[in-house]
Amino acid sequence: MNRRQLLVSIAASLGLAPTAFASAPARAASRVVLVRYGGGVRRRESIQAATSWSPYLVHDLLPQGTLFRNMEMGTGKEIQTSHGQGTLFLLTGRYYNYKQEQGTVLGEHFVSPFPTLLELMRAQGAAPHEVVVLNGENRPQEEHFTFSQHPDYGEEFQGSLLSKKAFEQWLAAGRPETDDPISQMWAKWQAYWGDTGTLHPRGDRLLTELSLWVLEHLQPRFLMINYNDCDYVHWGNPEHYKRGVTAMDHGLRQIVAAIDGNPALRDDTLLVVAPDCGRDDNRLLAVPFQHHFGDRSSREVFAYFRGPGVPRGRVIDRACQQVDVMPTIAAQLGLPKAEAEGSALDEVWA
Amino acid sequence: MMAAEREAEAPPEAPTTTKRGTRRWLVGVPLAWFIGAVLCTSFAGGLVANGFLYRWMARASHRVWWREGGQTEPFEHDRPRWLMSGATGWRGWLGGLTQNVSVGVSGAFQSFMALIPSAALWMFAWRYGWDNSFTKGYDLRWIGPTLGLLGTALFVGTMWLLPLAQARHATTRSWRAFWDVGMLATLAKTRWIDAVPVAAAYALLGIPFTWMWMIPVFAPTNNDAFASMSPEELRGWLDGYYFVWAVLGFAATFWLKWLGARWYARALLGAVRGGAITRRQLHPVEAAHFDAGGLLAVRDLSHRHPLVRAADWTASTLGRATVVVVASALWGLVAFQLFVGLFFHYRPVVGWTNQPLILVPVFKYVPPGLRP
Repeated sequence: MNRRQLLVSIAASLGLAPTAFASAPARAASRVVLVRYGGGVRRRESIQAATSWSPYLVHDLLPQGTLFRNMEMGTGKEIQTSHGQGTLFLLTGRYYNYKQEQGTVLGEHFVSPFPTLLELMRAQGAAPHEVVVLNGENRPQEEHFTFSQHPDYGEEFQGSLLSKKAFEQWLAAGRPETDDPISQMWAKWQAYWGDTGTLHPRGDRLLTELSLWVLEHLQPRFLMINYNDCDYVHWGNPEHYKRGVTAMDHGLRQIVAAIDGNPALRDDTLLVVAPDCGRDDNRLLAVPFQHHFGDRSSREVFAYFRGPGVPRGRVIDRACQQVDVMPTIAAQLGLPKAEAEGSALDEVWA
Repeated sequence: MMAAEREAEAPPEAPTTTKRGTRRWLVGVPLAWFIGAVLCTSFAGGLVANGFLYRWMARASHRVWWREGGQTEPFEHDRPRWLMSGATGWRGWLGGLTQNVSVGVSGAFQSFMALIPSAALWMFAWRYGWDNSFTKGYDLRWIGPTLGLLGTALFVGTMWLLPLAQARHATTRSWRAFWDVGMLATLAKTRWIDAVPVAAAYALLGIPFTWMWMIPVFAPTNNDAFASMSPEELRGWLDGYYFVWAVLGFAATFWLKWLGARWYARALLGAVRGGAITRRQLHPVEAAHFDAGGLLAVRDLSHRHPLVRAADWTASTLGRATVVVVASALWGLVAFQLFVGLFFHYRPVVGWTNQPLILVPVFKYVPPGLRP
């Protein structure tokens, strides 16, 4: 037992846990599905009804929960509007210029010195298959966002990362038949989709498919879905942005249907939708949203919450920060906010 | 005769000529530069500027031949002007502009036709290569990179001859001369070493002009003032920004065209003197200049010692191989700059089809959303 587990045990024995660590909601869902509406989406194409490319999100989902429409990312050169950084802001609740992992040169192999939500859950006893991050194709740099370098946490408390690459690694390992629920799920996946990797949906549609499988077979306590395909617009084709956003919108519809259709999840799951970062609104360019290089629009994000006890159809106008998402989820799950600098968004339960 | 000797023997210039020269440098050159910069901020203006630059190319090549011809006659070549020409009467008033337009359009069209195959391959490779990646059609993953590399190889091959072709077109005003690939290849082989400085100049000047496209991408970073600007204010910002670059761009293009013209003129001289090109193969304009300057004499190198010839051949072969590698790499760098510039600042179609230092000198891009 480490220091963290010891503190939690003592607090529990004194009847303090989990309120000693975070402001808990009146009615707690014990599961969270966090959809990273990424990589890099503007409010205009997501939550603003007149211009949105996300009809399901705007017309069906928003009326079912609470929207923080004026959430922002912090300013300053140290705070970068990138996918890796934004994802770690969501997972740690801390703005920080996350550095490259030693030995890596290109990509965003960022490592966090602050504990992530996944480690906090594992430290409280969640099994690896209950704490899952789903990663897209071609994003190997995000395969290790499941743990930090914090001395009290780290690899020992890492969550599970599932992806096409993880499935291929399972195949390469000889398809081990163990009691591990993840291994069992891969066996079913292989039986259904084969092992060529070409029959199942691809890109962000694969993430949606994997989400449905994980929700059904693993019923995790925490699931993060890292959508990213709309970021292809970096190469200049605006159509990729639109197709990426609509793929996520379709995915949301399927994920919500899967949650609502599963008795174990239906009244016990908090759905959170939040972008990793916004996108530029650079009118000096032919494709104003080609990049997310730190203009005001790229720092303008949002967060949406839906679940038991969350007010329906509510829109919060006050300014809040992206690092507030993590403490809110932590409060929902009865976790300490650890080294997060943000504050829980109390309107989620008020 | 050495240049210094020629200068010493030249008659002293009359005071009026000196005054005219001073006035030209203090007023005429800055004014012509300013007009060129203004024109280089629009496509139509860029075509006019292209004609002006082509006429200067012709003048530069004529000057090389005049110098080599011993300068027995004064250098006679109309100084290209923006509006007027040397003609008398009403034709003179807009003669310069007329020539600039006709030569500029014709020159741009020929260069466009030469470059469009590589540009088309690039456009297709980029658009459908990334589309293929988006849809994860990895069974055909080779299409994008292969066509992109093919386009680059084609571009490099084209650029080996294009500066010579542009200069020959400018000098002869003949589109057939532009497309005489055999003659151009002979010229390139004759003065192969000159390919390196020309390619290096394009590659080096390409660096700042790649930055020109990138700076508007980063200008609004952590600068919220841009978010609240009206379209008119943004357009004004772009007007000012690109005008500064057009001032530099016009001068850079002038220098690049001048380099190309000198390469062409020296190469043609060398090819004729070396016997690689005969008088019959010359365009009438070229033949007239060579006749006037007495430049048609072929040097007889057959008397050289076999060891000298062997050393010459060895040095030439090794040198040519080196030059081919270096110049091709430099032209490849020019292509790479295009890709970098378009990754940061994607300009549909025009970004692929018009490289301003090579084709039409337009140093400005106003996105459709800001156009009046």
